[in-house]
Amino acid sequence: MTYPSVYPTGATLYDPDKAFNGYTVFQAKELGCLVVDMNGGEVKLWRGLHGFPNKLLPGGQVLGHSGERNTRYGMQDYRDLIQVDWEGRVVWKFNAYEFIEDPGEDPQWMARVHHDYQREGNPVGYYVPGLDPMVEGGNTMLLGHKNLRNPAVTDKLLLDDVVYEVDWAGDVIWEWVCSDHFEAFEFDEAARNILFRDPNMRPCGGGMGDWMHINSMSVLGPNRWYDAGDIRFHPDNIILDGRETNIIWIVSKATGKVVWKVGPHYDRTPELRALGWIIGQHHAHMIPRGLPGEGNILVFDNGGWAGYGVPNPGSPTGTKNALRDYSRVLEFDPITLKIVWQYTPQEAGLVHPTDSNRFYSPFISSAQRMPNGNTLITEGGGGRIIEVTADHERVWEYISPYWGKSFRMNMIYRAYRVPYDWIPQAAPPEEIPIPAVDVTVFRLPGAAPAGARSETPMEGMMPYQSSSALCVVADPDRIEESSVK
Amino acid sequence: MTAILYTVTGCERCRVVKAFMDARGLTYTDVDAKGEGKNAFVRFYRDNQARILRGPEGIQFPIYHQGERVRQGLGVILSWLHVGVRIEPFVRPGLVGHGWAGGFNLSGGPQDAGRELLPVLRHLREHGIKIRMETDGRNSDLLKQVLVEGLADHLQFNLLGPAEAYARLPERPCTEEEISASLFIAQRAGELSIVLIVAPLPGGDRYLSPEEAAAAAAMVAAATQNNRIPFGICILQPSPDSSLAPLPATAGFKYRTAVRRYMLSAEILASDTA
Repeated sequence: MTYPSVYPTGATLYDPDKAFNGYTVFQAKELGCLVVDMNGGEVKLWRGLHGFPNKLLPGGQVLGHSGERNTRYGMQDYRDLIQVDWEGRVVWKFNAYEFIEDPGEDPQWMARVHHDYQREGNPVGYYVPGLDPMVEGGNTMLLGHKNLRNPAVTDKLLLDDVVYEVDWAGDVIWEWVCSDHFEAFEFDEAARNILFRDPNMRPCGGGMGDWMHINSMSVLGPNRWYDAGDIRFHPDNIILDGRETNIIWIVSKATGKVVWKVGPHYDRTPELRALGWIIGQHHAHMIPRGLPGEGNILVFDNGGWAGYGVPNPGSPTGTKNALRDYSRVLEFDPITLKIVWQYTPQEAGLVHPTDSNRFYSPFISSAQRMPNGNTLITEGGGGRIIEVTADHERVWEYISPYWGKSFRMNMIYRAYRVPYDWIPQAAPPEEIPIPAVDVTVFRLPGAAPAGARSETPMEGMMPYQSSSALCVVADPDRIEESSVK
Repeated sequence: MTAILYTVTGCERCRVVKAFMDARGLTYTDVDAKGEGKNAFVRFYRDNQARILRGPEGIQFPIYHQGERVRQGLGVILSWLHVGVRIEPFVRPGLVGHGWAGGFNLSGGPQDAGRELLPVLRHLREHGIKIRMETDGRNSDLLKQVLVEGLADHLQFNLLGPAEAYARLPERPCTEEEISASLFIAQRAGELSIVLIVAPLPGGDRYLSPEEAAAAAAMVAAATQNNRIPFGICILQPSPDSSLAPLPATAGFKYRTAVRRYMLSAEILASDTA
């Protein structure tokens, strides 16, 4: 989050030999659904098409929304889920989940969809060889909202999360309501206490508690765990994560029960402590079959502020009581909870913790595993998308040039990469390498070049210490200490 | 044989029953189940445990005992004291919270017999007891009288299906006009909720279908001109001796989607057994 006031936008780094070349789709802030090539060329803009997120379908079609409910009455309630073709024609639409009559607004059906949805055929909404989403027909799973009361959670009105499935005809055929399973999340007494008093109250509609705030929902799909007999990982089961509670969990499609989870408390077992306290996470999903790391959980562990529990100086009431000012992308084994791969400030080449906040998005963001083992990471708060190899080399970077007029950020909720042939309407673009710029010598017009005009070597001076010896302990100090032992 | 009334100190329902009996000169023995009559009640409870209802708040008093019969619940006791078994079809045992009386079903039998329920309801009202009432739409004149007199604080309208379903009822079938009239007048209740019963149809060979559920909802919307009335969908699974297979757990969603075309707030209630 240490941004200079001047920096380039668009594609800023590109190694065609190491990247998984294709198109990247994302919701450009207050602009529309934008598809860019590897050089940042804007291949397609569906202007005004909302996307929370946008997802491409093979054949140049895209999923998104026609708009959002007035935020005076709802929070992140998108009116519908629509499928749009290359020319912008709506070829499929669902909105008939709840009939909404807000003061001063046209009464209308709304899907109340938010954060995620999945079209049958593909479990996660991104490119997986052999698991294409259905373009015509098929069911769609949606993550939605429902207002209700549940005295087991709180005496306040809840903005609860639901997962529901609709068929191609628009009939709702399955539904899962989050607060029905409150006990399964195993909150401790301190968490229950603050949850009851303040279930993350939001002011819209007279006040409602967005207590869980699920921001990711996907299907497990075929996987090695189920093949080995572990029914918790049935391919139809659904994995979700709750930003406000720090929980990642799997729901049985057949029974609705929570069958696997990590969180909300990461200090209960040695395995959880080794995993570290996941905070405010996004896009937790199982890497689908056919991609490197298949069967592992991939998550953008934002850090920031989230959770319910014992008050501390950073959280006087116990709400959002877990705090961290950098992010991590974790790939971990759902059985052993061991971290298999990660991209944290350390892998990003940043000194920890003094420079860690340069890899940090305290909200939104995502991670997509790609067929060559690379990972597309949306570090959403700063509007940055990077592609890193399994060895943590950054081989592509793009920074959104689109700042909102109402909300002055260039944030990107979630970006996805697809192969070129998913958009047959566009000729595959030329791939022009963008070498890394040496920022130590890069200068803007008018700026003086590097190098002192006058230099005097000093006699009798000691060399600089290899340890940082800062006001706070940093990684180089730890390395020094460990070498002494 | 002298009737025994097991009561507890401070029990509002006990006071209402005793007032009813005193006004009619009915004799009984009042046993304070938590006071001096504790031992007697313990013996009685041990002998009749299976017949005594217990709710979340414990045993609901008063309990009326005469001969072999044990009666519990305001509606059951007062109806019995009023006319004996004649209005039994209109009242069933049920536990409701403090200050409430429930278990009344205005469609439980022939309308003329049901009118004998009115004095019981009036007595409850005079003593400040709130009344939970049920109807399936039959006996609309009786429903109207109850509502005009303000004798239902909460009305649950158990919708048995579209008009055709009512016409096919083996007992006391009725017309769409009567059901529509009941739906219209039902809005005079303090609170109204409609519960669509999805159950095996008479004959037992199939369930009410989602299309029929939609037709029933359309009838409600047309009769009430209000598509926002709280509307529940209750799936009654077949009894164990039925040859009909139970509906799958997800079946309710098809019904809800169909019903919501007309009644916008429809939700699925927990299923039960017919």
